[in-house]
Amino acid sequence: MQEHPLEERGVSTRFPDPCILVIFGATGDLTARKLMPALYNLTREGQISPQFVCVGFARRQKSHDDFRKEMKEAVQTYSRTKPLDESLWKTFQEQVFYHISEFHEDEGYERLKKLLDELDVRFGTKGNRVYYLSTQPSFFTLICEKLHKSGLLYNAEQTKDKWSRVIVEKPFGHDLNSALALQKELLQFMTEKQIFRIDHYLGKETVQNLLVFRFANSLFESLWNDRYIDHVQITVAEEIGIGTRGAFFEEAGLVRDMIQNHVMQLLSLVAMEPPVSLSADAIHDEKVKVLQAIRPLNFNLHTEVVRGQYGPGLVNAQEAIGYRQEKNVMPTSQVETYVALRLAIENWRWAGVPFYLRAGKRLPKRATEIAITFKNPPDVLFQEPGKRNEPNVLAIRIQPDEGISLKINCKVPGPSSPIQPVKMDFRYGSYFGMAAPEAYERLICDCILGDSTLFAREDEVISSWRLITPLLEHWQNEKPNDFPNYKAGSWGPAIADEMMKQDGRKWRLL
Amino acid sequence: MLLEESVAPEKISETLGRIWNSLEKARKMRASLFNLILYTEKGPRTPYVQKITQAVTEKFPSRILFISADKNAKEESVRSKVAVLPVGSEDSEIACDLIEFEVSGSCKRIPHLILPHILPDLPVYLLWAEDPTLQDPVEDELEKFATRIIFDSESTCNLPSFAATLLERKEKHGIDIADLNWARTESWRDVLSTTFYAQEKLADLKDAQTIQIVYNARESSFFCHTRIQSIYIASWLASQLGWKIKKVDEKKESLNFLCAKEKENVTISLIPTNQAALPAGMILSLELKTYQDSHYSFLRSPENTQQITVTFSTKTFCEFPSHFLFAKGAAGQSLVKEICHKGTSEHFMNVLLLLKQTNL
Repeated sequence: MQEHPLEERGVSTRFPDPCILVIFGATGDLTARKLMPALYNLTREGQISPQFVCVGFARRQKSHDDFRKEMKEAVQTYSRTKPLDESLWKTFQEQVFYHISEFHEDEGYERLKKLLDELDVRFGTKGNRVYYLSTQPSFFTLICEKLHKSGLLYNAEQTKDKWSRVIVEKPFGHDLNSALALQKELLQFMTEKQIFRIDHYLGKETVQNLLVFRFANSLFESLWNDRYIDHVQITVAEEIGIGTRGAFFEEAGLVRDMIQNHVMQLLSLVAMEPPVSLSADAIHDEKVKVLQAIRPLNFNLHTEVVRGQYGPGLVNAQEAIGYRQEKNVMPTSQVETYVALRLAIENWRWAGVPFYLRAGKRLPKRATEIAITFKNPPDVLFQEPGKRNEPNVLAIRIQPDEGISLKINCKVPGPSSPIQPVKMDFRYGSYFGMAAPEAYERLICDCILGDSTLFAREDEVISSWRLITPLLEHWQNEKPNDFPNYKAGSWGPAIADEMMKQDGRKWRLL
Repeated sequence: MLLEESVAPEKISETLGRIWNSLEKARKMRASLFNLILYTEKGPRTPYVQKITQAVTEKFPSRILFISADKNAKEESVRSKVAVLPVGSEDSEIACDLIEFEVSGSCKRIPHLILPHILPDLPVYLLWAEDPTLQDPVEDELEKFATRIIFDSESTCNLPSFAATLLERKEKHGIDIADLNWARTESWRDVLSTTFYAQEKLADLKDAQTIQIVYNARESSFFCHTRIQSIYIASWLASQLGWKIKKVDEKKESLNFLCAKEKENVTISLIPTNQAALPAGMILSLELKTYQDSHYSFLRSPENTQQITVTFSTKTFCEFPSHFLFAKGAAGQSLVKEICHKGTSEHFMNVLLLLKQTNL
């Protein structure tokens, strides 16, 4: 594609278009904790147009001012920048509105259209729209149908002077068939290019850094294969329980909540081949390829798949109730809150290198990490009888304490030659003093710019479901008989440790 | 600034070590992303160059080597000082080193003074705040270990000569080059490329008949060449769109470029105005008229000078205005980005090539 004469690649920054962001389900948790603080910070840093408007769409009765007041409190509590800039908020809130309607009411969408048209005139938003579906997935099709019917979702091929896009939250479908069906339904109302499937992990600076780390440094890429790597561990651990999401979690479970999306995204970024360019499609192509190379799971417990559910325990020295005691959870629930998987990627780069993935709720701490464990050198030098040195480990800390560390072996100063593992550590906080933007800030901005690089493409999602769905179906038929099988505050069920032990390995103690 | 000490040049490392030991309890982390050498001759522009140092350390930790030279002094002396600067706010956990040299008399010693204090394996950026068209052996020496040189066209009276010098430096030494005034035009370039991004808008731009750029000609103690940013924008448009400059003239203080396009001509006029409250050289507005009678106006808001309002109209149609925020300019981010940016901007090179041949 011919470059625009005024754009310089890697230098020019396009200003985001004026637009209206309509948040469906605006009275929910996500808007208060993440979306509104993100919009406030984007405004604060001049990253969105001064002609940006936000409309909350929900059924609860409240006025524009009620909503603005609630959002102010939310931003004061959850924004990464504090204290709230009162004069900025005063201007910002004048571009925040609230629209009352049920998702199924045609009349509600007609009124919405009228409101948006008025806001276009008042604020110069030029008809550009982002519809953020912060709702249960079961409403996605309904909302899109209504938007399309009322002329709020434009035909992208025919409408050139304005645009409309839809952001959908994960999970996209609840299994392969539903994901395919959902995709088919949504494509009745818009094109694939108008759909932005959000996985907020992709908006994290540390996750974006994975590609830079791998492909802007020749040192690591030459080692990034089966010749040098023993195994890879990916951990997504949370110390919190399911909180108020009991009803959702009972339907979804941890596989749908975290494995199918966040963990698989991390896996694809770690394992993918170098893309031919940094275009969205080039990157998505490589991610899909690696997902398609994953061998189907063997459901034999203890070997490749472990599931767990937390019982009562102690987290951060506080008593924690078990999953089955949580609100809106059945006392006999069989839903998993912990999963460990052993995956094999069947391609030339990764043949024989196991990928161990684990994710769970109510683990001892919050930690998301990718750890590459390298093979040991030959048993010739610097090895004591019956005692091997620690292998080199490259650990990429996604959150918290964002950074990268490399464990190497060094000689201890002194006349004898004991060898001690030490860590070379890069911490984001030490080098880049400025606070990184939150994931949602980056993602909302990218959607307004029409850049889908950091969103999940349709075939990525489908490939991930294709791998996961047989497991979910298997579990549907084979109920666990040992739940709960780990204490809150522990690192998961003992059988997960067995899974590693039989391979002669163990989980990293984070 | 956390701690500052005057110290003999040979004691610099030792003193910094001692200062950092004393900060251990305060749990400050010493960090550096790059070496930044700033050279200026002692005079009215020294505080301006010091401000640049501040702008950089607000964003990134770096090893700063600040040299202020007094070539006209009769006595030879070197005074040095070290300090630890917090990155960002005063209570930031991260801090970096500042080493200052005030050199009087012969400046031959300068490279030898700073060489021991360059951190290995990190890029070395040299900000040469003096006129590069005047041969300076110190610059020749410092260039040898710089990975990137940032010049300041404000230092020169002869922009075409400046452009030729930079191009020669790039070609001869292969070093990446940049200019602070070019950095200051970043937001304008971005707003123009955003506005004319769509094909039909680009067609309008290519059909331009007249472009008028109004800039603040009020001089300050640091800035007296106030039309450089405007010249850069004019040259950038011309070079990127393939317009050939046929003639440059001055009429009633306006500088006019008559450019030849494929079929017709376009006149770019730089019009001075005087705004006491605004920075010297700031571009205040840009108006573009096309042969088809389309009109684009880019106007800096008097109430919020970081906001640009863009309007587009034809004989029969008027588009709703768009507003853009020049947030980067306000925070000095463009300057910092230009200092740390890798490579030499291709667009900047094109501008220099064009200016080299222009009679200004």
